Amino acid sequence: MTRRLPHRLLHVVTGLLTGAGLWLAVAAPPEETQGDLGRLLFVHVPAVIAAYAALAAGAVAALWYLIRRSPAADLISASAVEIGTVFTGLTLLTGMIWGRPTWGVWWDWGDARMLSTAVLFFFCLSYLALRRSVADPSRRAARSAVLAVIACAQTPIVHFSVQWFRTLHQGPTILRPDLGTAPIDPVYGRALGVMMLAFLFLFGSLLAVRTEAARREAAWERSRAPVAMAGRAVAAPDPREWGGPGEADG
Amino acid sequence: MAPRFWRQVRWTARKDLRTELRGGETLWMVTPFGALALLLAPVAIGTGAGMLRRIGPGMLWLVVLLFGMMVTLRSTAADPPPIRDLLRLSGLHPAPAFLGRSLASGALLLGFTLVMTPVMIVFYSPDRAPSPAGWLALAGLSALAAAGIALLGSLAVALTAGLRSRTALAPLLTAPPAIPVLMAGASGTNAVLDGGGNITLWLLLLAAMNLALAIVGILLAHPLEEAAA
Repeated sequence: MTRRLPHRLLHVVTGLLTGAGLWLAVAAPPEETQGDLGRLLFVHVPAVIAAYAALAAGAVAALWYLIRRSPAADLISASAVEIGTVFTGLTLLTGMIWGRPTWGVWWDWGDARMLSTAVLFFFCLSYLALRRSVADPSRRAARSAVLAVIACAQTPIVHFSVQWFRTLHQGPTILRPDLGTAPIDPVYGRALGVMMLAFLFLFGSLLAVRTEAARREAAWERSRAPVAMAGRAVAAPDPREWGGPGEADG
Repeated sequence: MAPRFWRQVRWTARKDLRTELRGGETLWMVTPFGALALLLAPVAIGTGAGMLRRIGPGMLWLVVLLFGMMVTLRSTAADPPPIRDLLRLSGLHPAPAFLGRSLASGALLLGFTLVMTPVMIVFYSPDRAPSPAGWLALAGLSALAAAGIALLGSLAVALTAGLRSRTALAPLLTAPPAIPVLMAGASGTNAVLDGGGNITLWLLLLAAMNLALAIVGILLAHPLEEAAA
């Protein structure tokens, strides 16, 4: 119960922020040149910010695992990277939907931001594939932790690609060195800010839910391990079944 | 770093190259297969001279990347568990072992690339043979690109050591971050074949990427070695 209360609070705050953000996004006037299509940026930009946050959280937890060998850190890292993969996919999808009417193309192979985001997305997918391939929890955790750190190391490449290469995607509007003079209308800036906060809280909520699910999965795997490995017939008999001294008896 | 570190790097590279020399997987299987792929591509895509000239460098580096994975993930690149235990007991540290393995794979890949480049020029761009200085630039580009694929491949080998799905999973791990190698290789080769193109920026990009990969590999070699044990 004590663990669930902060989680519920987190979900409530996420819901309130998302509602407020959506209201501000709908209430904002159509963008001067893009019209209503500009509202897609209220999802696209927060999604990429949430993806960065998720991958950073995944890497921090992975480093924590590598230093302390904490199984909980592994579960947090895996959950964060999984959520980061979803947000990265959402970024690509919303970017493509926005790009078709704006730039005239769904995809541009020469664009550094699109290509680097796609690379990151496929790298995240390979992380998930690696995780599914290793059965032993401690080996899975160590290998995944290394990959989570490498995945996070790619996020600066994605972010700064628009400054390093002058291609189709515009430069940064929000996360830029001259933050105070970001060229954005205050109405749009407010809606975008609230949506970014909502997506960050959404990431927190999803992380809490997914980590709890992963913890239960791990507990279930542990409880099934002896039966799955050799079958009940050859598993070590539980002393409590034949009346001998159990674990609680010492 | 201590001289012992570099001695272990040299020793691991020599061991891997000697094992490869005896098995001949790269020389007798991957290299002819790569050349065959370069020969087959025009049959599938079309044999127009203009198009072949345009796609030649890209095809070369696609073959180097995909077949290079076969080189870095060759059966002799990952030691079986008893040999891993023996090496660990003999005092071989994971970081120099990683670098040594990458060095051996890089040398094999460089040889592979240097064989594939003239094959590509003959099949795709016979009228664009580079000058001696151009060959030198191509050799430098090939060396850095080979090192990049080798470092990525060694990381993938370490990550997938002992897994049944290793052959499918390792290329999946290697391919996405190898895209800069593909871009640098294809654009650099195109610039050299056009004559007078400057490839310094591509060389710098590859050098920076290799340095970053080497640092990551050295820092993470120990936990990876533990996970594979």
